[in-house]
Amino acid sequence: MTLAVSIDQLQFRYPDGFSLSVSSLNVEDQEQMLLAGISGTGKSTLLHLIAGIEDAKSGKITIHGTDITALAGAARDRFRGRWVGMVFQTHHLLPGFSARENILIAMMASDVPQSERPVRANALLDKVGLSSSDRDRSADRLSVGQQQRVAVARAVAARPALVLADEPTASLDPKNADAAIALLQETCKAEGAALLCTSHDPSMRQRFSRVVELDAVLAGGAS
Amino acid sequence: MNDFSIVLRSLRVRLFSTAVAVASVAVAVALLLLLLSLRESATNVFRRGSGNAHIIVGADASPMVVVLNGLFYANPPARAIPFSKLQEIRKSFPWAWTVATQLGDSYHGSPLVATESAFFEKFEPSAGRPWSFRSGGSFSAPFEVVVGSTAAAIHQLRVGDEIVTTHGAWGSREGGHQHENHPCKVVGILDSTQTAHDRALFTPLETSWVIHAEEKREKGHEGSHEHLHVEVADLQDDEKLVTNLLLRLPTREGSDASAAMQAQYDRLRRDPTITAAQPAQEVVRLFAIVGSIDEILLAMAVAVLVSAGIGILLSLYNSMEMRRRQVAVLRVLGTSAARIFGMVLAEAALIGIMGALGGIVLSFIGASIASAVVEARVGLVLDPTPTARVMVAVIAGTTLLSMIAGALPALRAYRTPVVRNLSSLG
Repeated sequence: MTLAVSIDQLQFRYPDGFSLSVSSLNVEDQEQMLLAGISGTGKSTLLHLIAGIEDAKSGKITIHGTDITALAGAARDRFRGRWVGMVFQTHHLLPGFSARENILIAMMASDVPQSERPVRANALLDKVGLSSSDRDRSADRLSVGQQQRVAVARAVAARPALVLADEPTASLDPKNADAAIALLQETCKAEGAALLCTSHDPSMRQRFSRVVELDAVLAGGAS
Repeated sequence: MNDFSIVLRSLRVRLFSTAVAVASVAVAVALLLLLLSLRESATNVFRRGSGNAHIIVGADASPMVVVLNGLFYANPPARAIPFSKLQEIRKSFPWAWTVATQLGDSYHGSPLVATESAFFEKFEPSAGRPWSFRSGGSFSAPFEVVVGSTAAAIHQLRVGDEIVTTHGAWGSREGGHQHENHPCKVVGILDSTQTAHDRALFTPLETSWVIHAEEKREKGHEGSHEHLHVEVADLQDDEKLVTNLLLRLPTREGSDASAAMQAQYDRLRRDPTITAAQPAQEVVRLFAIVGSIDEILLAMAVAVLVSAGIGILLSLYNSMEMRRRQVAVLRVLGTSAARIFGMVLAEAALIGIMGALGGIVLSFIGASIASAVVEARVGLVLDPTPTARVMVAVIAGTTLLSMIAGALPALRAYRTPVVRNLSSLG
């Protein structure tokens, strides 16, 4: 069975001296895993390395069978757009573009045929519960909750093998946080994508069947 | 969605700054086009307007003044050529043709050219294009008048109308002394030649000679209220004044040049009582003189275009500061840095293209205003409409300039650090 993510002997160092070393970490296909740890320990950095928006010093990060560290420039960007979805704490929807357009832009790097993209965008927005009247509104005019829903739909729009969620509930109250993570998990499951989520919130642990402490990964290599 | 729709949306989101950048490019392009086409058009008008005469003789101080006054009707010539000198020049060489003109009178500010019928038969207002009449025909007797197309339009003259000419008073509608005793009848309206001749009226030399001879003789009999009537046959040689003589040398068929040209021109130039000029040569000299002013104006228009390019640079560069997060998100969604670079360049190019198209429209409006003003004030019919070739060149040049201006903001977008602009804590 193909692993969604496989990390092997990963080394990373910021110019300011902060370093990260992960000997091994695997996420199974369609698995949902929580990477837990307190703020500032490197959870986001690890997600950025997996997404290929930070460069590892050494080691391998294999996503859906492809070593992303061996890809450079545009090839890595295309690979990320096709196989990796991302959800951020502050959603990062494109301002000036409607909710529907944010989904369509995420599909630009996908294998979804052009003619099917508008249908798929609507289906995803249906799935996350965004009403028809809100779909053509500019993303920056949607409520925080609506933006969160669009961000989830966008993360799975290209039919990725892996969704990386970086503190997706950090800015939400407990009730909304619970609903948001439930939506993320259900959507990833429905779309067949693995989910690797980071959080410093202890209450999140109960929602995941597999929880990995970052410290443990850094210490000796969780797998 | 595709890269182009993202580019269009980015321009629409920044509608105000996009509109200002487009407008500044449009104004610069319009200015440049207008200057280029006015220069081209003015050159054509002067080249065309010198007609098919090889030499023009006058009594003005310099050859250029002779040409400007005698062919472009800038001012009435200050001095006349004596009739004896006119006859001497005509007999001095077997010319292909000669045409005498006398300038000085006017009709409501439009110059009245007294001339011979050969003026319409031999002289061509623009080489290779003879005169043609919109209505009526050439004059055949004194006190008949043929009217140029612009003059006919300005004064709303038609064949059969009667007019009273004025002594002097070129360019003035108020007028001076009117030749009330000798009204003239309009017998022909000319088609447009797009030269200065269009704003003139034409009458036989005898019209002017008789009018001025009568007035001169009446002045000699001051105190008497009797009108002295002069017939053409009564005219003395000193009353037959002409101000210019147009000359053409014999040429081979299909050729405009004559082997005897330089020798005849030099011979006439040596005569201290007259001034000889070669119209085509004087027009070239005129453009050499005004060329430097022309270049300064062109340099100013180019400077305006460059400043519009700097405007595009600043507009896009400043917007990149606000769009760092957008660029970072597009990168996360799979858009490569090179594609982002291309999108910003495309934004700059679109501003350039829209500005160039707007500039072309503005230049058309400006051209129609400028040609109307020049026609009304100077009588020259300019057609400063940019040609298709110029328009394509301007669109291509402006797009290229805009892309050069967009290169720096595009480079900034290319180098936008993704992680730093996603601002998640970890």
